[in-house]
Amino acid sequence: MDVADLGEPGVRRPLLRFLLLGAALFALERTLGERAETHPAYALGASVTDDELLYREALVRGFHESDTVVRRRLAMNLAFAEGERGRSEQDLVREALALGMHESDLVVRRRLVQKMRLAFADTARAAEPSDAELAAHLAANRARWTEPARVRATQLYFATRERAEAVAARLPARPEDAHALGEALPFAAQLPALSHDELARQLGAAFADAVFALEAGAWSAPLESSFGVHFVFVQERAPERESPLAVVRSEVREALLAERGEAAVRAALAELRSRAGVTADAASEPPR
Amino acid sequence: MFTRLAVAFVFALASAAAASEEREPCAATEPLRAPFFGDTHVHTGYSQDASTQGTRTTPRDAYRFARGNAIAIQPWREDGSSLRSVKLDRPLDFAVVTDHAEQIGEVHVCKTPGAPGHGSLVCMLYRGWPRAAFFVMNAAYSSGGERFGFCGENGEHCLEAAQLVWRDTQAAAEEAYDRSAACRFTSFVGYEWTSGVDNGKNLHRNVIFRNNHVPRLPISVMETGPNAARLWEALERECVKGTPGCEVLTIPHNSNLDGGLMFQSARAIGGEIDASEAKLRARWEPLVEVMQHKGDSECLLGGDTTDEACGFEKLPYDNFGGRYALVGAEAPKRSQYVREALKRGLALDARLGANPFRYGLIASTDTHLGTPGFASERTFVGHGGAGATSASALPPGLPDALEFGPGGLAVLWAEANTRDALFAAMQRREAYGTSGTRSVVRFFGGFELPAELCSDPAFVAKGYAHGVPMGGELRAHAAAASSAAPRFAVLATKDAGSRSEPGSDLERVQIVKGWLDAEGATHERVLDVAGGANGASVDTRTCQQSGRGHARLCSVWQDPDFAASERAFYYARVLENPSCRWSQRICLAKRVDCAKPKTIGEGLEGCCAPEHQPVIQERAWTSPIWVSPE
Repeated sequence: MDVADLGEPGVRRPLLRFLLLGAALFALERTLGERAETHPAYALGASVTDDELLYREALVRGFHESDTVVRRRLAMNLAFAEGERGRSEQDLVREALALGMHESDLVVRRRLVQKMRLAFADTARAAEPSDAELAAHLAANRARWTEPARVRATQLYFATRERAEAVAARLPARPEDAHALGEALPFAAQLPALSHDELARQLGAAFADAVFALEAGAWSAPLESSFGVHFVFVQERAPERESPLAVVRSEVREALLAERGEAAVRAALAELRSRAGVTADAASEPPR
Repeated sequence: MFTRLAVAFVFALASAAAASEEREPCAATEPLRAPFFGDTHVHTGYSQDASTQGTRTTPRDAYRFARGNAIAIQPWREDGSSLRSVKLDRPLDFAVVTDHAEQIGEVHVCKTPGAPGHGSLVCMLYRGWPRAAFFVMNAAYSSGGERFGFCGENGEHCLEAAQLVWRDTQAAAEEAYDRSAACRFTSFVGYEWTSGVDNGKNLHRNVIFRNNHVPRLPISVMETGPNAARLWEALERECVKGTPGCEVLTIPHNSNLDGGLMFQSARAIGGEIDASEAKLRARWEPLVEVMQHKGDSECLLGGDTTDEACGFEKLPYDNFGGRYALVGAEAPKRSQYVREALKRGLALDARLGANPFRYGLIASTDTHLGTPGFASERTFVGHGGAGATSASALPPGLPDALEFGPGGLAVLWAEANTRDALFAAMQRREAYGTSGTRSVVRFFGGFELPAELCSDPAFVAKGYAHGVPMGGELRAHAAAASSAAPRFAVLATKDAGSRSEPGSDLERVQIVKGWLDAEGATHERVLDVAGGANGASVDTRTCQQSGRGHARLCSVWQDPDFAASERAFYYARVLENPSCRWSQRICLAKRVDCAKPKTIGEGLEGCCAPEHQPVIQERAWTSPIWVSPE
């Protein structure tokens, strides 16, 4: 399903605006008598899950009435159940809520849980991480911020082994002097400093394996790629290196805030559990 | 260790556009540019239509998936665990999460007792008669773009409420973006502007920001109404002029579902495109999405289109309504397709002095599972929620509508995998699309291109030196002799494949020419310029391919019918040998034998439907090169 037409260009017409103003006054009159909505108290058993707690908190905050996804889903459900056409979404949502459809629909419940989770996680953004905290997070997650080993090489491409071997005896000592000997590829003969993954994506994984096994400073034997045969001269090898904080600061910061957001959700859940009188043992964190 | 200074110097030379951010230069910087594979069209559980289909992935999950990690997708068990996980066998280089924009701020404030603004007149109107309030809010936005008083002096209450999702989307992009010299992955902040008219005629655009300088909220159709010109005005106001450092472009998609409207006026439904609109469109929309999960939008057979390869991944209806009701939908029209828009652009250019449809081509997935780049026919699990929101077992049958598919990929030629370099590639249209595979295609055009380029290992360097790359423009006056025709050089290599999935050989390379004659009529012609029929096939009973194709194809072609006084465009299309479509792979795995009705299980009826296409010919489409008279 995709989102349907949301545009309402006709409202810009003066007559329609006048009617709307009248409608607004009418609605105002109706609304003044409206009393604040209340939510029933929930009786919680000991087996209540985290998702249930988040769902109920979302109801307390009125997310089931405000969230556009929930509203669309409820309207869709009721229209389907009743087979009626032409009723406004607002009517359908109001009736669906009165029938308690938001409590029985799994999609609605999950959306509300997701939204509540997001709202709690967002509270972690109130405090900016210090440099020391960022450095500690980087040190604790080194594998993620280590740059791969690289090889800078010249490759000469030939469509067939025979054509490659015809050139083998003429390979010059300096790779820079060899560029005119190969055949055309979408890549230049001089490759930039590539990681194994980058080379594999351009010329195939087996070729990358072979190139990374070469010693620097000499022409290789003919090596096969997905496209043909190559002579390769490795000019430079660089080992993997750890990224300094100054370089990856923004990524580290977001990762730390995301981690704190998850902690904030856990803390909020503990608070909800204690408020509801549910023991921590009974609650379970759904797998993410 | 490499000399960082030298790398930085090369990068500075190579980058035409000024840097918009501080970051380490990439170790793998290629002045002659490298192809970066990505997806510009990705929905997660934050999109309402995805969410209602059980998608629970977040933008963080989507970026983790794009970078090669496994993620869980629906269906989910009652305890919240998933029945399956998915993983790319080759990570993407870049991705843009483009969830549908929602205008939730005002609604949230009006519906939250105790929220500042809750007791305002407009909110009371909203609670008593929301439909009327919706009109009032829309009318106010359309006329002035100011938020209501109940949102606070600077709109802060409503912004705060709506920013939760938008802020998380930005944070996820920030976390996924690799600013180290490794340059493993680039994310962009983006969203989808979801305009439709007449209950399903699609005018959708993906909005992509250059960097992390973005407006406080995504500008949705609730603020703009259905016409894209209002979106561009709002982006000009709130991004370009209103947010320092903000740059943005928009990409239209699924013109195959536009009911004939995408390539009409973006100012008024049914209106004429004038010179100012033509310039506006050319500025905001350098690219169009030519293919995705919901079919191909390149071309449709009929009229002067006799190109057989246009019968590729076609939907049998002309708008979204056709998918669900077959009411209000018609058969597809050629005017909905990109090739027609490119041709019409030539005619408008001649008349108005500006071409509104100077589109470069990309493809993407439009996944609604949060799985960017999941475009292989071999691993398709559906993109629209797999047909079930919750279950104790995987849904039986085909995982998606028969006419849908895994979609494609966007490829950008850039010096390095950074936001600045990739965004510049999008703006100059040095881009191409694939139907999900990873063939690599170079395409140059020029009056001075050497005829022997295919035998020259300096193909790429000379292509840039003597011509323009895909997406570029040529002026006929540049010819050394007035009768000389431009040459077009195309060099393609097959998908190098992965350890688990070898790439298919190439069958042929074609050049598609469209032109405007002296009488103002448009024409098209499709020519094979390398390769051709090779007898290769696929056995649909086993999905085994047989026969050989080409690992590499190259051609330098000169247009024998070139007329310097005519406007024309040329793009290359690369066709692979035939292979099994996703649906056939699943039908085989489920042991369907259409001769034996008992083998056609629940949900597998499509395997034996007359419209079922068991074979697909994967392909790539380059952005065109345009030639205009002085």
